[in-house]
Amino acid sequence: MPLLEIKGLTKAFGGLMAVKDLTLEIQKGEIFGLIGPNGAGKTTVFNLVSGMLPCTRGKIFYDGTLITGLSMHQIARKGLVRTFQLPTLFNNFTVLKNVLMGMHLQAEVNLWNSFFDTVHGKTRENGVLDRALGILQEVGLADRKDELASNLPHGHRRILQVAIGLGCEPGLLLLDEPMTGMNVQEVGEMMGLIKKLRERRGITIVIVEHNIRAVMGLCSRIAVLNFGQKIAEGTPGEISQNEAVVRAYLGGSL
Amino acid sequence: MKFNPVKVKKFSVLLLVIFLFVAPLLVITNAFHLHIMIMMCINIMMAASMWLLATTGLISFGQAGFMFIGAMTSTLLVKELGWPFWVCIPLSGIVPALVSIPVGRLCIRIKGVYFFLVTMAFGELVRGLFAYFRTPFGGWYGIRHIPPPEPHYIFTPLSKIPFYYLGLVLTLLTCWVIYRISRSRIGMTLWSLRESDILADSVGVNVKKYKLQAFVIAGFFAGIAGTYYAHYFCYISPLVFTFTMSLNTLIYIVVGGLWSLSGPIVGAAVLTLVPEFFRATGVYQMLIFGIILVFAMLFMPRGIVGLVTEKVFPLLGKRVNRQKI
Repeated sequence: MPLLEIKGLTKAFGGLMAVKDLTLEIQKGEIFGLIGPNGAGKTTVFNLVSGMLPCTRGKIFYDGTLITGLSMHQIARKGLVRTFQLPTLFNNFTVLKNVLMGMHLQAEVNLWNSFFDTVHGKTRENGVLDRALGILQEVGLADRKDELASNLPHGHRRILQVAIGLGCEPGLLLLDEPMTGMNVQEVGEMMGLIKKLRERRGITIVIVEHNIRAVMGLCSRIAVLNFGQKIAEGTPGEISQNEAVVRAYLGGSL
Repeated sequence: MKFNPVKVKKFSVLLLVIFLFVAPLLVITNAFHLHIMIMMCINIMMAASMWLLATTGLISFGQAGFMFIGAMTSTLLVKELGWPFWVCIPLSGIVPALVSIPVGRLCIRIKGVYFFLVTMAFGELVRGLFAYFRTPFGGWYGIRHIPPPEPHYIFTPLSKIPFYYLGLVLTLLTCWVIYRISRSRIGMTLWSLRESDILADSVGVNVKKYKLQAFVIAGFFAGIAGTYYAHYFCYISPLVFTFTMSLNTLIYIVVGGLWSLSGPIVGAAVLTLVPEFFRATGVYQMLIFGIILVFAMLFMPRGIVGLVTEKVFPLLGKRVNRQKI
């Protein structure tokens, strides 16, 4: 059974069809790429799948359960987490606090526990702190844990975004252009991190990216969108040969 | 000499509290000064409760409405039904809190400026409702002869000291509860909503639930402040709980500093006190107040507390960590 199943997904903003009848299947444990020109609807697909936007038509199944119509936090609770195209962080929090916030679902205590500082609340919180430090260690930001998120350079912000997403212990991670604005070295680091996430933690990853080399290097399968419709799907090799794709997006020689 | 900053802070707060308890016996004996302290208590309670809501990014302009509801609850219960004041105090927090649940559910769907306007509309709605019905709400004339708390031989109309202690206890209770909440995991979650509620949503925070919780808590403590007001001034009317009061509360928070609970406390205390120095100027009092506010906006963007932490503490050799959350 595929981990994520998208059937006939359609999103219309008035007369504009941002996504038209999209059908995709993402298998567990793979790294899936979603590419296409700007305005093709890739981020809209992420918005629809993660619950940020309501669908006009279509159904989305995560791990067999219907998730269309659920709100964003309910979907996150099920294990589907997304990052954002812009480096969205809790800017005035430290790096550590950002990840601690990401672990909200693990540490959720109600008002009573919090207020009276119960042992139950405290032990949960300590376990969470250790795991947060572990995540920072894994992504390589452990030495900057007490720095304000707004002070981080762009590349580290992107990594922190992924780290926050990890806090939810996701089964599926939707990464929206994680390598935008990064130099070659940082792209390499991010690629290594994504591979590590798949291998060590078994997280399935769907990545929207414009950096074709990274996409070809990371993904086992790729889907190409143009004007809201899927124009091709297959392995990196198949995609780079596909004429329609080359014409629409890749341009000339690869 | 090495200072443990947390211990220093706790010790100085304790000293301040002790000072406040003994002050009427030693230092502040003038009745007018005690009145100012009482006003400070009311303003601090309002500012602190509104601050908790502001940490989620929601600026509510309807706090005076909840204050009015709280005041009206205990006024009617004590005056018409003869219930004891001490039973009515928690009720005058609970009733506005209950009202704030449906109101909050409605308002929280809306963001930013529009939330501000809708809560302002709510505040005016409360005033209008109480003003329209002469019985039992007193209409535009309001309700006079509100009995002070029992025992009546202690809380006489002329004795400020018992009211001062009552206010001190209520204020300390309010601030302590709000402090505990704001420093807990719940508090951090509320702050995250201000930073980026979309990001919080994507990591599983039920944004609406948390915003509603803050809204209800703010309403609760506004109600308590309202009842304290009612039984001290012994008169309430729609002309008192206007949106100017909500605006003043907002000003206390902004001038004091948004970044920690000490901000609204300092802001309310200072801005209750400072206009009194200029009372002698007569008609220019408000003008000077306005000028002070403008200067505060220009030179203290992080409020008084922000200014002190960033400018004064380094001079004292205290290490400054900009992150105050």
